[in-house]
Amino acid sequence: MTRVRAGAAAGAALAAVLGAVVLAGCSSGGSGGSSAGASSGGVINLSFWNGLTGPDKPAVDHVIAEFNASHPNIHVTSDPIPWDVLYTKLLPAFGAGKGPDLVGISSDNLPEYASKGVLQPLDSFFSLGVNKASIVPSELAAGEYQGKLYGVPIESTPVMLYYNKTMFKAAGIASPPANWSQWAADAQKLTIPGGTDGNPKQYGMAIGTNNTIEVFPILMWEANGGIFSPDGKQVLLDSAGSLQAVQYWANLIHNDHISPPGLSGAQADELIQSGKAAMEVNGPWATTGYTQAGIDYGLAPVPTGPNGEHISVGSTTVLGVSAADSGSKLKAAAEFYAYFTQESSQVKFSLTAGFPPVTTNVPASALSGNPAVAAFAAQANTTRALAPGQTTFASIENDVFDPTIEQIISNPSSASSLLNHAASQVTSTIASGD
Amino acid sequence: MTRVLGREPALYAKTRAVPPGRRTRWHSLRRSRSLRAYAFIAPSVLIMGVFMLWPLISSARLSFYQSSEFGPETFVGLGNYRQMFGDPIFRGDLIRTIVYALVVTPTTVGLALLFAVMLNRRLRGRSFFRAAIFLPAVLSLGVMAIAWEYLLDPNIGLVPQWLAPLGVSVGIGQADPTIAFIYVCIVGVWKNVGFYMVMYLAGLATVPQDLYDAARVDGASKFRQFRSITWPLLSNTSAFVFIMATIASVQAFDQIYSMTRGGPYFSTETLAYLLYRKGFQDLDFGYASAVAWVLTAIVFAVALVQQAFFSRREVRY
Repeated sequence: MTRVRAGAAAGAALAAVLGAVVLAGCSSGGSGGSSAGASSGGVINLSFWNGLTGPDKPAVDHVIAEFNASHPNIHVTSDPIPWDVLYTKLLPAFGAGKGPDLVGISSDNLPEYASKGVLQPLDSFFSLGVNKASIVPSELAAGEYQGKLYGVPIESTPVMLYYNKTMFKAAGIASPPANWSQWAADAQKLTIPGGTDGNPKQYGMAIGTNNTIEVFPILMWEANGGIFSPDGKQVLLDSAGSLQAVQYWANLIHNDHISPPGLSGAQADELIQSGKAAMEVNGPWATTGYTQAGIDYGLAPVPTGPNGEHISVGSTTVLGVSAADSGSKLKAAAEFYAYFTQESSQVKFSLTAGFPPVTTNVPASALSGNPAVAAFAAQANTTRALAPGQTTFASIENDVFDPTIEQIISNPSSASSLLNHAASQVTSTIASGD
Repeated sequence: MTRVLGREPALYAKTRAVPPGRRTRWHSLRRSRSLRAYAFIAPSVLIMGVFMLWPLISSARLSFYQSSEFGPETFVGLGNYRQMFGDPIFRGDLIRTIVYALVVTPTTVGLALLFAVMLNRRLRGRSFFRAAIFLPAVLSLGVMAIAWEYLLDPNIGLVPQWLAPLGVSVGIGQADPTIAFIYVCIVGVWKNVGFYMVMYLAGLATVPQDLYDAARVDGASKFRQFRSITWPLLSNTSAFVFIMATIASVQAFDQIYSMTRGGPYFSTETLAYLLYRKGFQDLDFGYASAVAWVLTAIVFAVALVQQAFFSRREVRY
């Protein structure tokens, strides 16, 4: 009797410990939100999570350091996190009440956060010292969601055609292509067979189709197609223009091997840097890497397509302010943005990072030290947003659009059915929201 | 009756009537020993409870909800499971996971056994080979897969260049769904083969040498010796290795994330990657939990089957 009781007593104690552990864990975690980084001793601390880990990081750090030095009562701390990790962290952090005060995210992803109410409208910025007239209007529009401004631009990234001048000279091409037929002809000319396993040893283009700056949407826009209509209300994936553009370029990639299929953005950059591809559509951040790799590159606007328009994809990195931030923090954020958009900061930022300014108050002469910046700045008016106002953009891009394009490239005759299927998938994704 | 330490031996304790309510020193000793034993395992139980048992229960609960870990969650009952089995991508991933496990598990275990048998003899540089084959098991697969991706790249990689003179063509490499799947399998095998080889080497060390001597005297060939002596006596090790290899291969994720991200167009996506994509990219934690439990059920079923298979062949000494 006592032996059994001893074992049972110990077993019961064990069960109690386990039960306590389970119950403690099951109790609701994550209490209501409290704004992170409270002010201490009069200094307002602003935490700033962003994805600017590339060559633009030193430029951002520099501006922030200068701001902190000249504004002793505000302290901004930048926390650059790789983009995919950042987007995984942000919502759970906000949900747990531990989100940052400021976020630097792509304008394509902004609607998702604005719709969930984790960011607050910034229309009051313009009465707190920010000069609205000085900001490039199309970039300002990128931060709007349902009529309110949720993000102000800190970096604008139109894309252009990078071309390898050495390869162009070797192939006897005098100038970069201006339209699709020239572009296709040049790409075919620059694709030189003779590599391993029947692959070319030099490709005419490096077209990224996943985890990349999207090129195919530009081609679709240039044929009056696209993923969405400009107002974001219609799905145009199955339109005639989209089909024409996708088939034209999928055939070039599949049959003429002008680009390796299935490249990620990073792989496309590597091909250019290792001198195995002649052309790439990319943004301003690539200039540093290409220069360091010793590539003699030139910049040209993306060649026009069937509708003759100059179009570029424009994703703007916007600054958002957490909805949990108090009025004093909002004022501090406005002061920071006003400092960021003043001419001297913009000049320094642009010259260091290689990005065009987000303001209109910078004279071209001030940027003459970096000719790439001037070239990109001239593209600002041609940019279009990938998925205006779409809260499920990330899921559409990764789960539907990119795989569809890659599948079509591997089998161009399936373009029509695959695009139709993708269109219905996108429609149902939008309908179910997220 | 002999008395040990002045007390009746425990063997006869059952037949002795113990006066009710009277605690003898013997029973106190037993109880304090039991308590001490439980106290010793309590830290492990605590850790397992917190990091294994509670997540299991919590995940099971979450699979019946629609939750993005942000904002309130909605109860959907079996909705996630119904959506899962109706999703062609899930069905494809399930088949791919099974194919991957069926390909990688026997290959890894077979190669591990082969290497173990080969490296069990006295060889020059035996230690070097053992270390070289074992090394991938202790390195981070995520990092190594990045290196593999560079090596296998059809345009700038070394491996296609080496294979081309041998007549082996990888074409467009990772952009080809079949080749991408093969790559992922190869890296999966390469990672774990050393670990299981070490297990087998330990198992081989327990086989008595005189059995081999007797067999040689009887004129048995090397292969016959392996079939009749080595393999049966390794069945304990084989059971363990097979179960571990199956569980590891069903959970394949690291090299898929680093090399192909489940691409091209989901052709290398396994259930574990789908779990990650749905949970951490699409922030649909309820659905991801449902996938996780399906994966758990598969692993459990496979482990049960293997346990039944190998327990009949267990070697007892």
